[in-house]
Amino acid sequence: MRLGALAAAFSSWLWRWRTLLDRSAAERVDREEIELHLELLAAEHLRRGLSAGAAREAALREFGGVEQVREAARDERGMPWLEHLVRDVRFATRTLRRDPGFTLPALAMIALGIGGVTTILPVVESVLVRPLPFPQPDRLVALWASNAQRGWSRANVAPADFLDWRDDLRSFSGIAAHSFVDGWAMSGEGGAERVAGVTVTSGFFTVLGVRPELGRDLVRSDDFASGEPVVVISHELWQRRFGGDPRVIGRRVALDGVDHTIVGVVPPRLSLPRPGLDLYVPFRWQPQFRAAEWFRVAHFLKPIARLRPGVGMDAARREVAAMASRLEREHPLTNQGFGAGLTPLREFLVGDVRPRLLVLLVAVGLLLLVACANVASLLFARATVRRRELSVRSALGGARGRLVRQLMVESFVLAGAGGALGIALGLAGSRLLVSLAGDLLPRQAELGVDAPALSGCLLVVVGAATLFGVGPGLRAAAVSPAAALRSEGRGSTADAREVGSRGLLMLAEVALAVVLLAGATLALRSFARLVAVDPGFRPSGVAAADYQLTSSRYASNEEVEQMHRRVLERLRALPDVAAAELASSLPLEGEQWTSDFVVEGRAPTEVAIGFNRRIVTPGYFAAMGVRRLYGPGFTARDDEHGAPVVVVNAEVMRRMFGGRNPVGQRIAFKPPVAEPPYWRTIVGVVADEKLEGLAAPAQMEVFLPLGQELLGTPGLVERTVALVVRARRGDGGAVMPQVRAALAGLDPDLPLYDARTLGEMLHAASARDRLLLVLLALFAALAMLMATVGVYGLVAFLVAQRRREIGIRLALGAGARDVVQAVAGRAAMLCGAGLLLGLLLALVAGRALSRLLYGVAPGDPASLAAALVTLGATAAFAAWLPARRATRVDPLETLRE
Amino acid sequence: MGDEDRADLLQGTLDLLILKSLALGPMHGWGIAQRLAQLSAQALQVQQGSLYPAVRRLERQGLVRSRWATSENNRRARYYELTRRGQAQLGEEIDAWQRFAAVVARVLEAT
Repeated sequence: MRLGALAAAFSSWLWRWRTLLDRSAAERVDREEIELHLELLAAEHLRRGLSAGAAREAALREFGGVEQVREAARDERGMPWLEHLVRDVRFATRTLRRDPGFTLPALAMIALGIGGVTTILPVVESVLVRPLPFPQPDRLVALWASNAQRGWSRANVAPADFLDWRDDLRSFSGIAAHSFVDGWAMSGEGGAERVAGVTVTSGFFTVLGVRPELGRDLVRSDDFASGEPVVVISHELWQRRFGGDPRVIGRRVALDGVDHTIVGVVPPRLSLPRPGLDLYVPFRWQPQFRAAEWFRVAHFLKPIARLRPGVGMDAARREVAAMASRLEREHPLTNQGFGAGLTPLREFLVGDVRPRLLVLLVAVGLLLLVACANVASLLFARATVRRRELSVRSALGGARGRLVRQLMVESFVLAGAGGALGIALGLAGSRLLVSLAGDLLPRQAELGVDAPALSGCLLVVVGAATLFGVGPGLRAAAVSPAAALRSEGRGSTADAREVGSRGLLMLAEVALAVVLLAGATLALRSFARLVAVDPGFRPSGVAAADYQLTSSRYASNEEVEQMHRRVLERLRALPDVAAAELASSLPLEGEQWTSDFVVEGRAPTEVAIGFNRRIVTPGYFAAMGVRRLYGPGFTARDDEHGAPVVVVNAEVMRRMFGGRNPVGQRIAFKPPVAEPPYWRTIVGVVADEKLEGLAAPAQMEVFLPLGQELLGTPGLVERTVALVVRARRGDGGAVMPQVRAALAGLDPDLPLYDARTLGEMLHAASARDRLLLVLLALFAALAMLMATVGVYGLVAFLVAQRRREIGIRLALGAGARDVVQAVAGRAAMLCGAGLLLGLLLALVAGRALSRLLYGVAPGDPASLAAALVTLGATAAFAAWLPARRATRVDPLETLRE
Repeated sequence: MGDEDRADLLQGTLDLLILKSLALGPMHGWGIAQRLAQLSAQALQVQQGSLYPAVRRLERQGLVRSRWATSENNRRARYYELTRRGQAQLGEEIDAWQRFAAVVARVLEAT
């Protein structure tokens, strides 16, 4: 296009804009001009001898249609399409406001449908779609170890392996790792507090691409203990405890009594490995560890890495797997059967939550479809009612396109208003969901609504509007005026078509509602099965809390053991405490240490691998209500001075001893190569406690009495323990303040943290399934409500439509039941078809749920039957109500109409 | 030639005629109609109302500008006059029209 033409088009467009804003003045100008013109024309005719009236008429004829001229002039001005749109919108709003019986239900349904989607969509977007908040996040991967024999996949990595990976792997520009999240007692100026943090290797932030706000990242020399201990702190801690001091680098802070120098501050809201961490502490391994066997056997590192530019994920994966094979060959005793792999970091973090979120997204999608079907049905009904009005307008010259446009505008206005309401509802719902369930979701710190999520929601609104607006709109405009003006609602073809469309919509609604209801019922049964699982202990009246004996206060092993016993002694003296025991960790709580052991008298190759090892006080099992199966168990005399004994759980008995009582036999933890085994006698067997989760299979466990962890290898004392307290009466939580006071009395610097009752612990273990169930049930209930409304609407319409026929039937002596059948029969058939279709869809859709269900098959007949019966009964009731009214029709009245 | 094309052609021709009549000096709507009838010796009878949308279009395209003034019989009337761009456009259009007419004539003369 020539530049001149382009410029002309632009200034023409500009002119339209200017005149848009000054419409009324322009109208006046037009009117005046035309009036003047007409006067002058009339004057001409007057001169020729016509009368004033005749002259005016002649002038008008010569001029042409005044209104058309004004309309044509208007089209040259302003932006006619915009003005028409505004006018259509105003008209639509007025029409909708005048018909609250239609508008209010329609708005409510749209708002609910869109609200549901808007609640889930931002969460899905934040967790599953949005890239991680690091530079080039798709280049970040998580590295893991696997071992088919132990049933490990995506497992932690041993430090020796990690260091070899770091030295030799070429595919990555950087590798780092972190370990478990832990807490440190921070003291010094600013008071004492317990702070959450994580141990990391050097380069952790560099790999992520996070540049420290102040200072530096940890470097290689920090990985191995040399010189003064250093630490990197969070932005939040820097502000909170150091007041944002710009010279915080170099200041000292005491962690567990040991002075650390602050060398770096990271930017705010760093959410890896978890949000809310304040300390990033280096490992400070001893250099001789590299040669130690345990360094290659203890798997507790979670490595992350950044792919080198130009290196593909597959190539890197192959190199990592080859590396694992190489280490297997070089260290056959420790690395036998170990493989390695990598996963994109985002997938690694959110992987197990994806199926749940997708299920929820599908559920709200189905709910929206049901809502749209209902609104479309309402619009069909409304279009029929307005048929006369529309046909009159069409007969008077209204263009077909114009009518369709007007109806579409109406749908869009409806969708816009309902959508705005729905989005507001959904945003509030989303925020509520995040506040309730934030801990259950990964990437917690990033949860929130941002532009992509919002545009997604808006797109949904537009889609919905199109979906339910187009059908009725086209249908209504396709009416021929003559036919419409002639019919008197007596069952014309247009009516038949409307029944057909509405019937199909109702069928679809019922089917979709069945799917949602089936999903919710399955989730309900699954949840019921889950909470019915025996956790292996009795939670009532028991509470727990953790404490840690720092090495600065309790340097030697003896001091630690002594303090533990003093704590128990003091607590047992409390009148309200029935039992006080210790355990190195509790069931259902986080990752466990696993080890291997051998049984005396068996071939040394027959090793029990991957059992859980816990240290407990003798009364632990009684306090927790864990059933004792065989043997006397631990007594008070079993400590570091007594004979080495262990208690095993039923799973050990099943797997290693063929289900026979093993009491009296001896086992030993797998020793390092050159050492002889340190045998310990089995003195008891207890029932299994659920460790990883309620749905997880049983795991082997070996228990040591407190003190005996020092015997043999590795001889590490337990400093962090969980206190288990059973109250004499009532709730365990009520006794906690006394426990806290008692502990403070022994050592004021010894905080008790994470106080929880066992009941709360159990509750938390089923939290994810509970949330899923609640949400699915909510959406299913809404869908069922909408579908019911759809059924009711259709039957009511049928009754109204066939009043004459009903009257005739009644007059001819038909019974009430026959009338109801005649009227509602068609609707009932459609409903039945909908239920059947829904059943088929539910069977297919159930397959997708199978991973999330516990103890329930996706095709579970009881659940499906319950869903069908519930919806069927509700729909039947909804159909019966208006049908019953049909029997009250006065035959004389209808015949007279 | 479809109906739309014909309408466009008529529209374009009307625009050209209006431009030409304004070339003789500013005039109000009624005056333009008179002038056209005059210039074409009554052969051209344009539906009078259609002048107004046309002249609005010319205004939008920046070829014509309008202002209030007093007419011959002391009435307030809106006067239109050619802008510089309008004059240039007029010249171009006249050339184009004459060329077009020549081509058509040549085709029609050939047998």
